[in-house]
Amino acid sequence: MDLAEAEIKAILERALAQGGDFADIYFEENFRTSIFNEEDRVEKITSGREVGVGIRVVDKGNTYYAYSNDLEPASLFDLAAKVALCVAKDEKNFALPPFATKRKGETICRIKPDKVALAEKVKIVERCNAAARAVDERIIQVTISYRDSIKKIIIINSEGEWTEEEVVRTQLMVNVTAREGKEIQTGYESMGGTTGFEIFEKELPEDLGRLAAQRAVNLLLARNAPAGTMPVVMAGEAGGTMIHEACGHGLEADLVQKGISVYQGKKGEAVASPVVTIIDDATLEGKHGSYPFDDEGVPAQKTVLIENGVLKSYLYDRITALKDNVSSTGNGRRESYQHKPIPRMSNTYLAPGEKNPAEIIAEVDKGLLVKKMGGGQVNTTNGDFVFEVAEGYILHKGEVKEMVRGAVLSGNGPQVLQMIEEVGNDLNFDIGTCGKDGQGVPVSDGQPTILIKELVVGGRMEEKDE
Amino acid sequence: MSKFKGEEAVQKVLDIAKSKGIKEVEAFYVRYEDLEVEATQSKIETLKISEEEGLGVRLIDDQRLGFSYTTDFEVQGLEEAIENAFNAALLTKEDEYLLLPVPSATYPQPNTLDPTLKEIPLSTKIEMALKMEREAKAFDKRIKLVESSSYTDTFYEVALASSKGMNLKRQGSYCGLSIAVVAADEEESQTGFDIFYSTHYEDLDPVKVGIKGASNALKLLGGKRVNTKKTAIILSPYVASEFLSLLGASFLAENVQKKKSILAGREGEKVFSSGINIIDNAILDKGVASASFDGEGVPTRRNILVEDGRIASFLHNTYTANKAGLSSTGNARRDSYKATPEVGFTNFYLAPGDRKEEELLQDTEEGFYIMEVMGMHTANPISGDFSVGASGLWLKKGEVVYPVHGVAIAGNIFEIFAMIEGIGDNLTFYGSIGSPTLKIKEMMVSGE
Repeated sequence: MDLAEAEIKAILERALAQGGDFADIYFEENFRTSIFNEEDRVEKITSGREVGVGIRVVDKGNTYYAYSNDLEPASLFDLAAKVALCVAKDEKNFALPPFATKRKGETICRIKPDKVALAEKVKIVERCNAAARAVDERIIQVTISYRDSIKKIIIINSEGEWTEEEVVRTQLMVNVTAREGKEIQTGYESMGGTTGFEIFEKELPEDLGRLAAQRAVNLLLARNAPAGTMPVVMAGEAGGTMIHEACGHGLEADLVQKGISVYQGKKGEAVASPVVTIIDDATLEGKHGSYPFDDEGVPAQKTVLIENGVLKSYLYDRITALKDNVSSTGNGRRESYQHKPIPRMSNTYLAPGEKNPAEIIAEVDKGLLVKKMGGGQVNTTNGDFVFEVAEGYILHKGEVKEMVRGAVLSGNGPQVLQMIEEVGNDLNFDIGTCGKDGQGVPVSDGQPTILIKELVVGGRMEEKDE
Repeated sequence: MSKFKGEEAVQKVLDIAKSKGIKEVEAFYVRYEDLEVEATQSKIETLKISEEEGLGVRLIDDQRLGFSYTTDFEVQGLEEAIENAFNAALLTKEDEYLLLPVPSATYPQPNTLDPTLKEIPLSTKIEMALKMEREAKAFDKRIKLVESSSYTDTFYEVALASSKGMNLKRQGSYCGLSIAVVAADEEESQTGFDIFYSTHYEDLDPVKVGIKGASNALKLLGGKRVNTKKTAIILSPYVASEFLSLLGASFLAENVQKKKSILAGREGEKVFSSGINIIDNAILDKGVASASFDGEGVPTRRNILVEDGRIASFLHNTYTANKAGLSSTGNARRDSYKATPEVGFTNFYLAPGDRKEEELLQDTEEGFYIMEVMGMHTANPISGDFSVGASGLWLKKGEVVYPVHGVAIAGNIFEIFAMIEGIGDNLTFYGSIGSPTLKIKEMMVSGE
């Protein structure tokens, strides 16, 4: 990406030649490696380089976007012309301000993936595999995926801002299948972040494999989860999917402004119990959802969304911030050059409180303890959400009893936030990929141990069957 | 610097590989031209056009698989991809079943291209998205807004060449409409949606899709939770397709061979209810996933997976077929040029039965007609266990008692398909997956 300022200026001006109040060019070069291990061997190693560019023009809140894989200047100029044709308003000459000093950012990474021999990466996968398989003879399959990427991004806009960043990500995911007779169960674990190969020094692949394998084996003996409404304790180590679905999406400003979020018009109001403070922070070092600048070139920041139960802010990108007369919160993200940026979460968490998690569990007479969450989904229009219980236990008279399986928990975002009664002191994060509008972005979600007055548990066992 | 496009690029990869002494190599090139028009509040909120192209290199060296991809069609880009693929192969495990297929003498030619698509002016396509929104809004005064009303189309071309003599190309197109509508009364808001895809522009009906989305939203207004209990279930075609998708994973030979399918070894066995016929058809006329050859250049065909409840066959690519001593069923699928050809579906559906949907509803004393589920991606395709949020209508003999939401349903997908009591005649496709309405004996519904 060897482009002179004059060339970029010409391209932006061409894009704005038929109208528009803002334009940006997003260059991306992504080099990825992935290793796939299954059937006790390394089956597949894939790597590749993808280069692309997206040109965006915004006109009164509407977006005109074009992308391609061709970075030749002539082709970029053509792409800009194509976008302008789509805008198709009165011809005007947009006067670009001179470019400001280039801003640069990168993820803090000690061992970059391109400095690690492929054979070393293979060893990580093999260690994970060996440890998982050794856990129990009932394990019939272990599927492991290692991924790393070095993503270089350059974002230049019609306000004269020029931002360059390099983001490194490393991830390891393992899925273990165990079988006993006709019963088959799986356990899944993942680790990763905006970090280099050094992540494996602190978080060992063996531990990841063993954790997933143990869960799969334990689930073989677990009974069906109950069906019905009951109090739920979510352990800190369970991950943060619930927060992500219960309010994360609902607080994305584009959904609010479109009239499809239950949190619309509620700034300054109590939307959660007073023990609830929810924060989105893209500056957390090494976390999976972190970045130096968002995908519009806005610096990452920490945003308090809900403070002691009161709604303080939404998650904004440039377009939505302009509409609400505020500044972007640096949450304008895109999956890649193929997508326009929209408000997205980064690292979203419920702030820890003071309570000892063991005390919270002891409060429940009859309910469910969730030790690990899986994925979830939300309908932001009415606030209904679900998330998967990957590992759960019956709680009876304050004690943790037998393991149960096979349930989603279902609830309504605003209602559930009001029903959080206790907040523990043990904040934990889990990583994932958040999907919205056909775009996936890496995120992390976190929460401490919390007690929710009631949720619908979608198990297969009616209480009266006990 | 000269560029090599499409057919030239794949040939160039073969030349470079040959010069490096690589004997078994395959190059796959794809180019897409996309258009996306999204309307809301009577204007176009997003208009996106694009041209994407990339190339994947697959090679087998000493019975070891290597793969890499690139978007750089200069010689250095292609060379880098070949080198990365070669280095990858050095570290993967040997596998005697790895094989590149040989070309066939004949290939089917399903109708996959609408030649008029590129000729239709952008303004006409934009108007279709706007019209669909207007129809939805006008349908009922309780329609509060249209979340999004979208038109998309794609034109693609593929080139595939290999050291085994493959030298193929194909083109195709598809287009579609999707709408998400919000209905509201004083108490609440509900969303409804509909989608429709075809290979041909003339099949798109914005009025129909708009009205369907709106009426789906209206049907859910005024709903509530029900008490926790087991109940008869009717799955709308959309939800039935989602369940079918979960079931489908067990028919991929790769999963069968890797102990990730409980259907392994059960060919010929009657596992599902009578009347259940499940098909994967890559030569379906106007099927959005139809193609003359699969991701490895093997001719495609129509495959019967379940016949009258009996497991008939699994889907294979060249590798899994070789391992099983069978022939490829033409189901090698690449999710993109960045991916290797794995076993996958094409146009995948449950064949229609002979019952009208109204009949199936009227025949049900009391039951839950499920219109939407949430969280299906968390279901376990290996064990078949699922637990998902659900919304729809509580019916008594086909009459709506009240809408239902905020509940969860749980069960096991293999048990569900063995409990089918009625199959509708209304096969409906949602992209490349389809199903008619299905009546199920019972599932657990969790509510109050």
